[in-house]
Amino acid sequence: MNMAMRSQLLKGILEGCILSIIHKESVYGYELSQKLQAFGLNDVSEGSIYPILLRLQKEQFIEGEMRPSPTGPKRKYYKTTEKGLEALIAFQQEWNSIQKPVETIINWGLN
Amino acid sequence: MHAKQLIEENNLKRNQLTEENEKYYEDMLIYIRTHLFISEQQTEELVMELLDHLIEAQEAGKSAQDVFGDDPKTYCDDMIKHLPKEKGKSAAVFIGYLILQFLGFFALASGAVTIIASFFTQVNPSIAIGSSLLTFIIDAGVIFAAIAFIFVWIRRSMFKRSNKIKDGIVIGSISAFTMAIFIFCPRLMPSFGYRIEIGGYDYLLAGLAIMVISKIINRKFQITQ
Repeated sequence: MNMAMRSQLLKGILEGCILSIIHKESVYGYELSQKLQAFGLNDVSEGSIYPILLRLQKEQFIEGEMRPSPTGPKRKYYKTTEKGLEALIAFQQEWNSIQKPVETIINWGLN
Repeated sequence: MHAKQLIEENNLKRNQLTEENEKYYEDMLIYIRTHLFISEQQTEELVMELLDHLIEAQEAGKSAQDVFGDDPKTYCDDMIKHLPKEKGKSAAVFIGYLILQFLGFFALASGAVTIIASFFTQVNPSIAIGSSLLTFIIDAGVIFAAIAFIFVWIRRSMFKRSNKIKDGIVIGSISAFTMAIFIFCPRLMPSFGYRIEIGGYDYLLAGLAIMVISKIINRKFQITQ
């Protein structure tokens, strides 16, 4: 798949995933990228989380706070806001409603 | 943490990068920082986050290109468009502070030149307020325009193999043009407006007063702390 198509497809989905991870526990940037990879999203370039984090902050879905990390130095930790939780629930509903049909259509088309 | 502290910390931490990663990171840093109308605080928090990430990734054996991709310009533009704008008030205070500083230097320099010149020749102590004010406004405008142009030029030359000679010629010409305006503008300006008598020591006194005022404003609004 070419880069442009890939990034279009990934952007919205990645936003939902990031919101979900941050809602589960407060993380900083590097940790977040490691979590995404641990879940199997290996092909997502690590840096691509930052434009998304900025957008989520602008929408007031998440907030950053500087505090010391377990290894010592200060890091910016993110947590979801009330508005962010609403957005996450909306994303989940949206995803559930399209996931099955999309899978079915793609498999049907290729058969 | 305040933006100024973040900048100092950033300068220290960058030393931990390998030469190749440092080059990649510094291009991004300059590109993002030369966008003057985005919030300085938010900008510095972002570039610090990117630096922290790169340092951790480097320890895991990854390069800046692995982390941030092959197209740093598009990547940076994608972040810049989400950063909040600098608040109108703090931008206005900052520009006001710069104008005041410039006015202070202007007065001190005029004072020094007048006093030194008066040892050798007869100095006419009267100036026309209207034309002096207009000269000052033009000089200040030209300085701001030159700085803005140089910033845009630096930003445009990031991420590509820059041509040192071309950069030198462009920035040299801008500086020469600015100097020319400074020298010829007061000479060619027809004098108009109310005339007042002002000697070298008056200039020095006014310059000092303006510098003190700008120091107080700086302390109050924490412009350069």
